[in-house]
Amino acid sequence: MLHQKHQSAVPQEVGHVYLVNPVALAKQFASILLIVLALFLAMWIANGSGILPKKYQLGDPDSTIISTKVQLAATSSKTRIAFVGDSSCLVNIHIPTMKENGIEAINLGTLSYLGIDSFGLLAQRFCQNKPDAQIFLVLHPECLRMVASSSEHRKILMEALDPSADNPTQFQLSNLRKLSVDDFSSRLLDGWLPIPVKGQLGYRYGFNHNLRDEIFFAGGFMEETGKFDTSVSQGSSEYRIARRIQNECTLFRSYLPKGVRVHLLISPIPQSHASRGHEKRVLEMQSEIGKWIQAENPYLDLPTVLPDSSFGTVTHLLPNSAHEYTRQLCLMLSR
Amino acid sequence: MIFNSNIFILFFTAVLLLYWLIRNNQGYRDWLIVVSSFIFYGTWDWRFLGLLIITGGIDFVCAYKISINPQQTTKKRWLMFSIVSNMGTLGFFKYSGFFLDSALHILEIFGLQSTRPVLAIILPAGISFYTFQALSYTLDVYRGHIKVETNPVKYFAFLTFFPQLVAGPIERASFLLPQFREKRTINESIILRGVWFILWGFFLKVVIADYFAPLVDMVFNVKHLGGSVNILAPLAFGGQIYGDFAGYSLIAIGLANTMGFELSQNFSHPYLSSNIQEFWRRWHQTLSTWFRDYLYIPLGGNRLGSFRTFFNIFLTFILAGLWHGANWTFILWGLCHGLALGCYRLWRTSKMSASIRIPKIAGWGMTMLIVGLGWLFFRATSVSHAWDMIQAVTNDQPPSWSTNYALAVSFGLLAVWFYDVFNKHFHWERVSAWPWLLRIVVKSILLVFIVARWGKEPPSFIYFQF
Repeated sequence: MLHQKHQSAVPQEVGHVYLVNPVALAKQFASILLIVLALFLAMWIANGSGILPKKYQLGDPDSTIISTKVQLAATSSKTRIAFVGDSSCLVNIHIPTMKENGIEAINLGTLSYLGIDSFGLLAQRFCQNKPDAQIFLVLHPECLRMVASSSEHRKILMEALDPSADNPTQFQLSNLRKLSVDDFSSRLLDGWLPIPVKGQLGYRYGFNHNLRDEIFFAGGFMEETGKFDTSVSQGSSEYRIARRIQNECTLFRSYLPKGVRVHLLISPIPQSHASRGHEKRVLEMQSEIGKWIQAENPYLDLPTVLPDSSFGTVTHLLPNSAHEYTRQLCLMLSR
Repeated sequence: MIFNSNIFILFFTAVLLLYWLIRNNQGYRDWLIVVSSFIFYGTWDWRFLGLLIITGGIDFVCAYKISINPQQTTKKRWLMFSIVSNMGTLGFFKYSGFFLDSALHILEIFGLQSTRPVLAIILPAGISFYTFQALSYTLDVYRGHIKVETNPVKYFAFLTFFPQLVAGPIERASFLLPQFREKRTINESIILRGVWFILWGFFLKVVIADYFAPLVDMVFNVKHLGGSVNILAPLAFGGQIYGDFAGYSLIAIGLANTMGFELSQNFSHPYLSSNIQEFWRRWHQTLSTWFRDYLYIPLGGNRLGSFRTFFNIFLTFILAGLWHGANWTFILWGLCHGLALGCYRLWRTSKMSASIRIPKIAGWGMTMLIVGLGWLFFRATSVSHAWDMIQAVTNDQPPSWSTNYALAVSFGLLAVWFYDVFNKHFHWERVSAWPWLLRIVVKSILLVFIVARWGKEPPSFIYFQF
């Protein structure tokens, strides 16, 4: 009723008029886009020109971890033992405990996304001029069933291993932002502007610079900061080895100088994720993978299943448990 | 649907296209605005569309009844009905849990055991904003500041206008509603101004606010961090909330401009204020003027002596704090600002202020200290959390990353300061006189920054929770 009254009082009127010259307006917007594109292009060229500082490899926690491990591998000339592997190695092998037990070692554990062959490249860097080196490959059953590794992570590793290969990636329009502005700002800012580490890890380590320093001074060990929630985290207990693993293991071995001794260690899983025959399954895995990487026999006899309370995530032990696990490892090594 | 999301960009492009197509009919225009606003709001939670329509509808009828009734008492009754319905809705959805919990807590203090009922009420997005806007409509009609709107479509277009529906600026009916009654002219100048505001808005949001977000979380989300980080984190939050909210407001103003509408300015370089009164003239201006016109002045304002002025300021700020959320931390935030503003007013009217001249820089420092303390309460999850952080400054061990934290926060605060200085000196009227190329270059640089940071943090706006 109200509406009808209104309609009779006010006739339909023009809503709005455009007093614009569409061509002039389009020119303005096109100019903005052109300048933006030109700026992107200029940044991409500058990235490849060599006039900018080198990439700092600290843009995100993954890059920080990988580049720190490369640095650690290259600077540990006196150490003869290195642990390489996925993130279960990174957070489970507590280097300060090893030192307490008289074992000089470094932890070069990184991330499962890299793939086992990439762990070999890190080990190779460590083994330079060390014919008597010993490498412990630490793998988690979860990592072994992963279908594929990440080329992005491998690229980070390759750049960290060979800084002279600091060439911009081939120009791709779809990847324009990353190649131009991300790379550009990273070169200009990452060296001095601290970048907060996100999430739980950030609450413990703060910034990427601090994460790098703390990992470095802890011999490569990083603390797990999460809390394992069994009610949420339910996984399949059918641990199998993905097809890619054999090939990666062969490559891993091929990267290491002859004479270097290799050991295999399968990381423990939480009780709630273990099936009845898990221990037997681990022995099978050890035997298969051990063959591919030509590992020393006998295999290390460490717990394959631990209580859920020992874990921060399905794959990572909490710091106290890592300390205890490493203590047991030391006992075994000193036998 | 959030402004800094790809889906919103698509949505707004589609709306603009339709808007251009139906330019010859005001009725269609209003319908388009209502429908697109309902779609925009419905993407948050379509169930609350009904609430928006019902509460808005009640105000529409109340205002109509106020306008047609000659008797003052009847007008007053309809106004009361509108106030009660708006405040009742707000009270139920926003405060029922808080008041019930507080009452039960008081009973427990006196030894009266009670079982706490589980009250899980979802807060409808933007409820505080649109109820205040609706209330201003009935109040303005009652006061005779505006003619009643008899066309429901036009009225709902005003009430639900999507650029400012969920987080303001809170518009007065006397300012925005007449714009829906007129033919709007969209010329090159208003479009370019709109684009300028949109770009700066996105810059503030995705470059400034999103830069601060992890810095704020890494202190406020962790217990027992000692040292300076507890002082710097509230300042970082001040940067975050400014970038977030001023950014949202600028985007809203810019979007409205591209549709030919004007919205009120919400922020005018507040962090350059040299006293707390100035700060409140520059921070969330549409909310502070709302409280001034509909609460502080009706309470007597500053006309009833020093004590009453102090009390009025105090009460207004406590309610402004409560407007933000049902938590004692917001009340403390309001208390902190109310106390500071009350003291400032007392100082200004005292004889001492004539003889003692406080340097501007000292005034600025004190203002920022008060504002920073306010942000501590505002961001803390509880009063005890805020108190723990204050105590932790001296009691707990500083984290190993304190120095980096200071560097990162200082860098961000410098950017905020730079923005405020730039904004103060280069407002649109001045920028529009710049050479064409200079304007284009600045816009392009802003766009590069926005593209660089777009999507790096999850899209969200702090003020949506209010």
